[in-house]
Amino acid sequence: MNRRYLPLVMLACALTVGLFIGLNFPSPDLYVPENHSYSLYHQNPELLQMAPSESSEMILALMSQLMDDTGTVVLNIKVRDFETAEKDFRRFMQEAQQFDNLVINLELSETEIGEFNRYSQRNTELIQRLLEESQRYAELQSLVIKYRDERNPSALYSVTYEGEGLKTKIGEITRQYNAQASALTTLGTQFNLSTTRYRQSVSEAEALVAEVGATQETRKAEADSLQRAAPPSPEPGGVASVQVELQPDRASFGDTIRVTAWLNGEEVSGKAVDLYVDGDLWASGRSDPGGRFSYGLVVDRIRAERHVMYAGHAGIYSQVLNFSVMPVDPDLTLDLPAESGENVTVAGTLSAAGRPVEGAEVKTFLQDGILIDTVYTMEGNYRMSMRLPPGSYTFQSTFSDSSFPLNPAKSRIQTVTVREEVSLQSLITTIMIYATFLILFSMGAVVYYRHGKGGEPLFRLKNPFAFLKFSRKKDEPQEKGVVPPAAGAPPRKEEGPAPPEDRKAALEEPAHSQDWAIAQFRQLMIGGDLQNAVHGLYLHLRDRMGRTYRIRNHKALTPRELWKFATDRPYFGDLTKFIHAYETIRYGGVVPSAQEAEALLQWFSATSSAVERDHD
Amino acid sequence: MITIRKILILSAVIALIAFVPLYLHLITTTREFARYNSQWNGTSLFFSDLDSRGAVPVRDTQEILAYQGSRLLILAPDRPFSTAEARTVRTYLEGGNTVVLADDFGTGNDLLQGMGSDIRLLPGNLSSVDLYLWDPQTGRFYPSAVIGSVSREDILTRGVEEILLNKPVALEGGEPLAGTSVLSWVDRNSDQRVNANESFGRYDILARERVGAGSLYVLSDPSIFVNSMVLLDLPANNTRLIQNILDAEVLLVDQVHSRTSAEEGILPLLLLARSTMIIKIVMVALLSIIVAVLFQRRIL
Repeated sequence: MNRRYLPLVMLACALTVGLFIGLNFPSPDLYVPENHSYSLYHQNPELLQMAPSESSEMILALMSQLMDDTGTVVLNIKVRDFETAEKDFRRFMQEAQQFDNLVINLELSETEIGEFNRYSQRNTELIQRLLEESQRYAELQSLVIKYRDERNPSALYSVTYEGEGLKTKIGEITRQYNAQASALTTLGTQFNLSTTRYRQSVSEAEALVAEVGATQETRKAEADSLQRAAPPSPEPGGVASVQVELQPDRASFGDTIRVTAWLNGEEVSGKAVDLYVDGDLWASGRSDPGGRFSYGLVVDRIRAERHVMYAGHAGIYSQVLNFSVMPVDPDLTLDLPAESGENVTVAGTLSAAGRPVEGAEVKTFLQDGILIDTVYTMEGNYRMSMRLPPGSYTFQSTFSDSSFPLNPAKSRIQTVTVREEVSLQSLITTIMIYATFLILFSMGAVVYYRHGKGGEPLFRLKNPFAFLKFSRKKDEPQEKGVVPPAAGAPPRKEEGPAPPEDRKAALEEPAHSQDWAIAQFRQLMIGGDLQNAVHGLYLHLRDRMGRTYRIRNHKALTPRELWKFATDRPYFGDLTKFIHAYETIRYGGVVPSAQEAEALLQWFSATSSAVERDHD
Repeated sequence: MITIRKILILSAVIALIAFVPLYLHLITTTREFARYNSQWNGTSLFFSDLDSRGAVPVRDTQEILAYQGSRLLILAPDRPFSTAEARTVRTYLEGGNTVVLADDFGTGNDLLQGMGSDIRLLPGNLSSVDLYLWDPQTGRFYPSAVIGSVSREDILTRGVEEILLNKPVALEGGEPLAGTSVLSWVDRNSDQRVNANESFGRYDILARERVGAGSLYVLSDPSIFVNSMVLLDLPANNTRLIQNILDAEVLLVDQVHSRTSAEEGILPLLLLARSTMIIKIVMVALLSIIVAVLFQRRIL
């Protein structure tokens, strides 16, 4: 390869390497140990950490506690020790949460442990409701005593009806609690857990329902007795009684239950009518001229269970009716583009029976069960956005809310590929980094070019702006540096040995005169600088031969190359001796004697003169 | 001034320094379980211990019959056992010797079947909720890093309570000496989760079978012998288990079927050179001549 292209090749290589490194500097993962951390036979423990051990003991202990504590809470509810029941329930909730976390962390959701966890979570919800409804039912007892003492049959009926609603709720909760008891005890037995207290709690819950039922019967009897003893005296010409009917008595999400209440009496038009579901006021309105009040109860956010309903007007209540809400499977969708920028938007819909579900909680998970966000549907739609680094991700949305008559649902798993986005900021950063590299490189090149070894650059770039240059004045020196003396002129002795920099510069300058070169040699020899002394002679010969024979790039010639060039020249013998002596002194560090130095000068002079003759 | 001589000497030193890793690279291998693999998945440390105990490498299965009262280790076999070899191992056992077979996905079942043993290695990764490895960065647990516990005292399990395994399989048959907790499963699809067709249960990881006057032990994971497991700072008793396995008057190590004998490329030649005195002498002489020539030519 031509040597003049070597710097360019090196520059190209350097730029290529710089470009490669520059492209990869934001993520320098050319090699990470993880690349070599797993095989079919084992995983590398050096790259991982010791996990908290004895998980099975912890899990089994928690499972055992969850089964036992369920029994304890139910028992305390049954004996109406609500304070202790609440305390036990809080502990139970913490354990259930801890167990849930453990199941998620250990990725056991799809296992029997996960199944146990789901039952346990459901139990948490049921027990909480059982506790709340039972507390409310117990509170009604004080009202019953008050109204009984006041001999107020209307208020007593009101409380009794509310109690009826609570009785239905408690019965339904207990039914659901007992429904999963069999599966839960089977799982407990599978893992050798004691299920005695849990099974006992099921019996206690049933006893509680029976007890509430008996209490309700007593309250009704008391209300009837009170009413018989002191029948309500309606206003003259007012409402005497209220009746209600509903159709149908079984419905599911989106259906409408038509409720009609009648006021009986002389003046029934425009009277206030209230509709109660499970003891809670559900709707209010005024009767029409015929004393009717109709209401379409849309099954929307109401639990899938049996409910009680009655109507009332000014302390006069209708009979109690029941209706059941049946659960249906909702349709949960997840819309995700196959590819996305780093801002990923997840959207979807939740609907059931062709109707959007409003205000339902939807959770979206990333792979491995990582919860991304929880949002609520608006008109059946949900949407969430997040920023993710480039890569491939799988998403799934879930719905599980028992306040709707809808079964839990999961969307289809969707995958999105997140592309790397080039932001303006990172673009500017990259440009600045490249610019810094370029500036540093240019500065280095300039410094090397101007102050390279001996002030002689490795290569010279043609000046593309040469046409702008003014012509140089004739009396100006052509180049900076030491101006060589006139041919044959001896060095000025009064100047003494030149300082090292000047000496070096002088040596690198083309020798215009053989005598000058010899004088320089002698001067350096006296100063003890042998290597530079012989080097000066060599440079003189190299330049002279280069110019005489028009050798291209002669400044890059090594002594051996120069010697090979002169193989067929008449002065080849002298040159051979000179080169050998030169290498011995310069590279071998040999100190020549006075005679050897003179011999060296003779070989030099003979060669130089011969070249001079060829030049002429 | 830097002379050519100095440059040459410097180059020689650099070349020498570069030669050391090259040599180390050539005399090692990256094969799984290989005794010359000093990386995390090799068994160089275990074999160093074996060598210091004077263990005898078995290169022909027939040789084992010559060692009465000995213990044969067969670690991670991956080459098939012929019927004759399996019979030889049975004869060896019946003669009052002991065989320790540590295997998970290799040809261990061929040997067990060939010698008429009741023990079998079940396919699929054994995994457990009782695990000891996790990645704190991702929060991911590795259920195939199974913690097993000893259920029966034996000469191999003396002083051992727990055994940490690394991607083991489950065992069937024989007298169980160690097993997993009830929250373990065979991960048939290797997704590190329990799926619908995978259920929890206790599985054996170390079993024994009496064969004549001898004993056959089967450990369901040879990974306990790899360097990274040997070096692991374990609260469990793997070290003690390994010491118990090695605690024999005469130890034989199978090098016919085992992955531990894996050698590739130039490695066998270099190992031969390293273990043969005459080749060592020739190499030293050659190097000396080269250095002398360099000096004579004033290159050095």
